[in-house]
Amino acid sequence: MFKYYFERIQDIEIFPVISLLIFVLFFIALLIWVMKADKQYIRSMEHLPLEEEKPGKENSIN
Amino acid sequence: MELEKFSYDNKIVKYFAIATVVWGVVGMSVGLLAALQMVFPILNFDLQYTSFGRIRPLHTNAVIFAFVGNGIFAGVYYSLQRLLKARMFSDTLSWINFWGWQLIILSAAITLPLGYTTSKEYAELEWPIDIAITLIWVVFGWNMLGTIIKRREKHMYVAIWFYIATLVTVAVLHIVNSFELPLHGLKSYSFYAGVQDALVQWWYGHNAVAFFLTTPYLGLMYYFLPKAANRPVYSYKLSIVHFWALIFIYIWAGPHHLLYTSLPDWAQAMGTAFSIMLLAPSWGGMINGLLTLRGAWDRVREEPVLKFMVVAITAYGMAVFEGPMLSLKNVNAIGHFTDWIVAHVHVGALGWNGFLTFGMLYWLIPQMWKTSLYSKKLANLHFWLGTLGILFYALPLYWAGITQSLMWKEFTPEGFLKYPNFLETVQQILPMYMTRAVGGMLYLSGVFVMVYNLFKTAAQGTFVANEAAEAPALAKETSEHKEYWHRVLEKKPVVFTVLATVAILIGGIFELIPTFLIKSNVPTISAVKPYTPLELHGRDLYIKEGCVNCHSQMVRPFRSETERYGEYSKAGEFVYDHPFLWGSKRTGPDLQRLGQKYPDSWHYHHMLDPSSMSPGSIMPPYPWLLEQSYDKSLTPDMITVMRKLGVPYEDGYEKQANADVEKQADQIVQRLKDAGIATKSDKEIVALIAYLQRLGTDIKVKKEMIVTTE
Repeated sequence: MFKYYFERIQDIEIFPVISLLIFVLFFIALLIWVMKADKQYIRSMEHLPLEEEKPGKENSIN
Repeated sequence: MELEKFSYDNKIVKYFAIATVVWGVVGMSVGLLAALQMVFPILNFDLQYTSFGRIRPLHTNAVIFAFVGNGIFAGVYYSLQRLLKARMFSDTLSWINFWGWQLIILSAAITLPLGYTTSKEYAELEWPIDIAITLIWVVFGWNMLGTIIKRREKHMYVAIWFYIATLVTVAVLHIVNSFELPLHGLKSYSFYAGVQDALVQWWYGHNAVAFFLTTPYLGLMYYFLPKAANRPVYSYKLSIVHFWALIFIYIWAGPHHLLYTSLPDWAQAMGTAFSIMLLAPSWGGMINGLLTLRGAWDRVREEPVLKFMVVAITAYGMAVFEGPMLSLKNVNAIGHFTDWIVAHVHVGALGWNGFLTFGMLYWLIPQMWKTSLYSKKLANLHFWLGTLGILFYALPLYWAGITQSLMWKEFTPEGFLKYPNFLETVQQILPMYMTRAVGGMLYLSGVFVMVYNLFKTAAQGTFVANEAAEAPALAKETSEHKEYWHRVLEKKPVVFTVLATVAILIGGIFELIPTFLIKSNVPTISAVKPYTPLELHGRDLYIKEGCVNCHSQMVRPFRSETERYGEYSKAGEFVYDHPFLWGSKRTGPDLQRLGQKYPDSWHYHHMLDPSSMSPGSIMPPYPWLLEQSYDKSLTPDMITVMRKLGVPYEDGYEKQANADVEKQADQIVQRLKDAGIATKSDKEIVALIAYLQRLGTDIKVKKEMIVTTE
């Protein structure tokens, strides 16, 4: 039973510290990535759902 | 670039859309019945199949899994094909997904009124249906990932990330929370007990809200709102941050459903902390949705579709503001167990899920039938009926919840409870219950207007089952240098899926593992003993009748609660409870310390006609308990299964368990006879009385409680 292994974890109080680190590092990395993102790529992604699927097709409400 | 010709499968979308509407009408009608039952107990019809305890899970399951579930599939199947410029991976899988899901819903609609339930909220369905859900979900995932792999569009739009996160997380949640040991074909006991079971259940319950009612619908918002407004989403960068932050944080917040309970403090604090953080990504999504309409607000006046979506996103914003607020312990102390929570849930369900579904349908049906909406006037009528319905639903319940909570907590200057009779606090809010039912009626009548409008729309158009399209094939991947990381991710959907899984698993692992260290987290109490076999039968009846929907078994450590109910609940009291029955709503009083409070005859009369013992009670009568017999042949298996789950019944006890059943039942029958009531020892009422008289009595036994930690 896996419970047995967890019972032997030393210093379980380190868990919160680890989780804080994971979070801080992850979100800092995420923000850096987003800020450095390629403008052209972002623009094309924004317009992806709006691309005319077929000429002559009602694509929006007028 | 050579263009490939292919077609989009609209037929599957049509079927899912129809299923959404049909089940929406059914689920909401059942909800209206439940709302009326709380004002007019006569509407329980004195039938076991229609009593509130069984109707309420039927309503929640129908609305969540049938109405919203089919709404998810309709929206995903439509948008995924177009965003990836590919037909679904396999038509066969699509139809297995469709019919499988409807069969699951049908089996739920049959088994829940019959009383087959695990009692775990939003996971009430029994083990064979749990397995079916898993299989159909895998089919859905296979179909979706297959489509992603054969796509003609290099990059995955943000909506698809939300779909993938939904797929993965719902699978993980459902499997972990459905660990149960079968007793027979339609009955099982939860693998976890007490505090552990509660934590796993609310890790699931909270994240069912997150990954079934929120993430897929955010995906739909990111696709259908830009389509309807004909403008791109406000900020794609924000949507990237929104996505990762949301799935990273949501998964940790489950314990906020268990504040002030016997859950260890560290877990409660964690739930609160992450719930407050959750406000940021949630509002990020709302802002991204609303600001998409920047400069197009004039069109919102003209366009019912946009009206529905704006109110949906606004309701989402309000519900996710309220969630973190309710996660503050001092606010939760007032809100928990009251109708405030019901109001909160319905702002999300009626406002966010309902209105986004309606907006999507009003846009989708004219698209697929190549026509325009039959009547904008009727759509506007629906909009106002729905909006008023939400207001008439939510506001009275906020009022009712806070009123009742403050009445529960009020003391006289002499230091006594001001309202010692629980029923006084119920009578006080009945007008609010009535107003809520009116709100539900308004909302439902709006849905009927929509059904008519959509039907007429379809009738005037021509449906295109296979919509022709063409797109260049995806060029073979070439290694580009200095590539933006996320693009790499999107090119490798599988890697992306793994990363999303890791993000949601971290929270789950940190939350669940420490709780499995039973020794340090649940102090054992030596006086707490396993249930007798007759009490186990009674407990199964308590589960079957859905008592947990109105009665908690969790006395919180407040003076107002220990005065009213008795000693507050200890974690160690629940170690043999497979499943736990703490409950999350007090329509009636808490039952944790009910044992030995009243004579057996009181319970007999009370179950036959609650108002005979408690004048003005809104509890339904349970006359069938006096007629039906519990199934004694199951007793040996019950003991065996419980032993497998870790309840310390002695070896071989299952062979003599039924002798003990008879002994205990005969004592109860004798006591009832002394009170002038004639009954037989094999009747359900006898087993139920045995269980009710046992509740919370273990720690009253003697003063020799030995509490050990470590």
